[in-house]
Amino acid sequence: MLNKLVYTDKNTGSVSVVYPVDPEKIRESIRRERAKEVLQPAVEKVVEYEIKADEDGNEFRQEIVVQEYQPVVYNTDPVTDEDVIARYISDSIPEGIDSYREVESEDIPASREFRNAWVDVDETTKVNVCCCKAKEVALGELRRKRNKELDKSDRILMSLLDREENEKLAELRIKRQKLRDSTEKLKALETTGLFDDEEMLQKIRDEREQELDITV
Amino acid sequence: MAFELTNFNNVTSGQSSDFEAKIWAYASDTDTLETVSTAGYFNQMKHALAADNLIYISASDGRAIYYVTSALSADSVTIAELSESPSHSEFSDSNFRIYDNGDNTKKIAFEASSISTGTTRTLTMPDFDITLANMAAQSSSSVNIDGGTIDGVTIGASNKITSLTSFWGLFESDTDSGSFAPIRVTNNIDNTATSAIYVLSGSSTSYANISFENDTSSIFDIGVNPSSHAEADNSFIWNYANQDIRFGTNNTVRAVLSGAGTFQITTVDINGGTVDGITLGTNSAVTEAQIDNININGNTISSTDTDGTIGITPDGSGQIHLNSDTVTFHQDISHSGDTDNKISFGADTQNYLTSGSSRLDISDSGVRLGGANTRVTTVLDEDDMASDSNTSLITQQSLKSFVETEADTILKAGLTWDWGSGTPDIKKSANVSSLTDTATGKVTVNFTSSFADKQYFVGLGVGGNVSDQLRCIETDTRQTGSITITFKYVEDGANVVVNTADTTRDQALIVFTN
Repeated sequence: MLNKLVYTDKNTGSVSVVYPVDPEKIRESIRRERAKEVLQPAVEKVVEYEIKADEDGNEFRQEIVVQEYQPVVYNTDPVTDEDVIARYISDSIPEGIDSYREVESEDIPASREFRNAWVDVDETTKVNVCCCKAKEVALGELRRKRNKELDKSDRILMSLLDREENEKLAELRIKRQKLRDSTEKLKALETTGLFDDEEMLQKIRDEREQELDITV
Repeated sequence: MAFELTNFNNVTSGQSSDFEAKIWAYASDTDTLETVSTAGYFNQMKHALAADNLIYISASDGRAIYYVTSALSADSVTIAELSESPSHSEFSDSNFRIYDNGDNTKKIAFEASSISTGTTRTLTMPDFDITLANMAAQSSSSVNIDGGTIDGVTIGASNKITSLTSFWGLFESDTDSGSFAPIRVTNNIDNTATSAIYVLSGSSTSYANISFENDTSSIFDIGVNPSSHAEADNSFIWNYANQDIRFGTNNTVRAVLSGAGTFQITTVDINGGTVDGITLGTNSAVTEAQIDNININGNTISSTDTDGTIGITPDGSGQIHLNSDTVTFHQDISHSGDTDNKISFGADTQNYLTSGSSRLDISDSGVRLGGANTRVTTVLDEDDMASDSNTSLITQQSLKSFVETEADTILKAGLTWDWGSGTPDIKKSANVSSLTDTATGKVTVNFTSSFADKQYFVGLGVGGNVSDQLRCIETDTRQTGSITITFKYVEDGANVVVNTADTTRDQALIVFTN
């Protein structure tokens, strides 16, 4: 009944996908809220009384009062699919989002590999993968991997300096420079205006997965 | 045989000259009247007979007749039965006698002096022979008195009537099919010759009957078909053999007075009049009165025994049914022999007691258990218990629903899912309307019912197979209606990075509690 919703953050251009969880619970929630609206208040009713006199002889009326509840009248208007969808949208779409649209599962990329590169740039329902963003994602991952290797090379470098193994130091310096330059090819890829370009994405993927070697 | 001269006598021989006619008497011991009456029988007497002579003939078959000579010739005598033709047809009753042929001193005379002047009375003979002195000896006829008056008649004063073959009573028609209301005394109405007296209507089927049978069966019936001695329509039967008296209608016995002294009546319907002043058991107790139904036209069953108990005790496992829309009790209904186990009624109250203690009492204020504490006025079927009543009970269904709902509320919100593919596979949820995939390692959970405030607990469990990663979450945005979470892990024990590996292996459990 309920499709997935897609909306785009104006600031970042990134796409968010909203997945409905349990429409029936939404329906039940609406029904209960409606029922509360029409619950009748209790009415006090005197069911028994007795005329008594106080110490001064003044008569007073002693009453037994009960709260008589009015018949519970629920709003039994059926909760329609439109009601559920409206609640789903109001709960899920953040403030400031002007537009959203419904998508099917096949409109969403099958892989989350470049999840942060998902954009919505054309008139189709399909969620697109932006190659520029994908390159940035890959650069981030590659840098993180490279930095780990540079950290390792720092420890190796200090050890070689202590032992004054100059030849290995020279070799290490060359590999460290290669590590620093490992992102250059990826950065050099021209991705502007490319969306869902599997060839380019594969190039990005290859650069991201390149082997980094600091062995000396 | 033939004419016998010695038997032919001149009856008028020696009479006065005034008696000119000649009367002859002829008696035959051998010839019948038919023989004597044949033509030429008296030819031998042609010299003595003259025209219009009267011949009294007594034949051997006991029959007698008067003839007159009607024609005479030289050779024959013709006779004819006495008619008006003879000129001497009237005689003075003082001159006319008939004497016995054996003893002519025995005579018959007629006396007409009592007849009114100018009046002729006719003595008509029946069509059979009679002997006036012994009418009882007649056996094949009857005396038909048709007209006039019979009164002052004594029947059987000296001797009983030994036989009465048939008596047709007053107003009887000639046949049984007459339309009158007849009385007939007969002994062969049904050809059984068993009834001494039978009073029958003109129709054997349409009118009431009375029959008395002989003393061997001693049946006295009144009814349409009494001879069957059955309880036919509207019958009354006294049966000596059965020693009972029965009344029947519609082929059914309605009442039987038996020889044992019991009087059984199917239905006694005293419709009108008054039956009063009847006392049962004045001298001794009425030990048993078996009555199928009692219809009381008054309103009270009471006793004269002060403080005495009136008992109604059905036999065996019989029950007492009070088939009335309303059964009213003055105060208590108690168990036999256990009087403090009872239901006690008061003004607008009912109290159910055992061992004298109230277990359940009902009043206009509600129902109460144990004689104390809160009364209950109704049972509410409110899933959310919104009435918050302190006098109402709750249905099983609404209690179940409420507990389930509250369980959700206590949990408040929970969600498990699996990033098995590009889209999340929702495993289980509570109070979550949707999951928003915002970015890698970052989701927003939207609640169906919002929290009261933002200070709710957040817990996380993440499954995976990378042992060197310590997982954690960071709550980016916490709202009452949603929360945005970023999954992170500590890389190499130092860097906290976003979990980018949510593509295949991670499951998530997020629990928020109040």
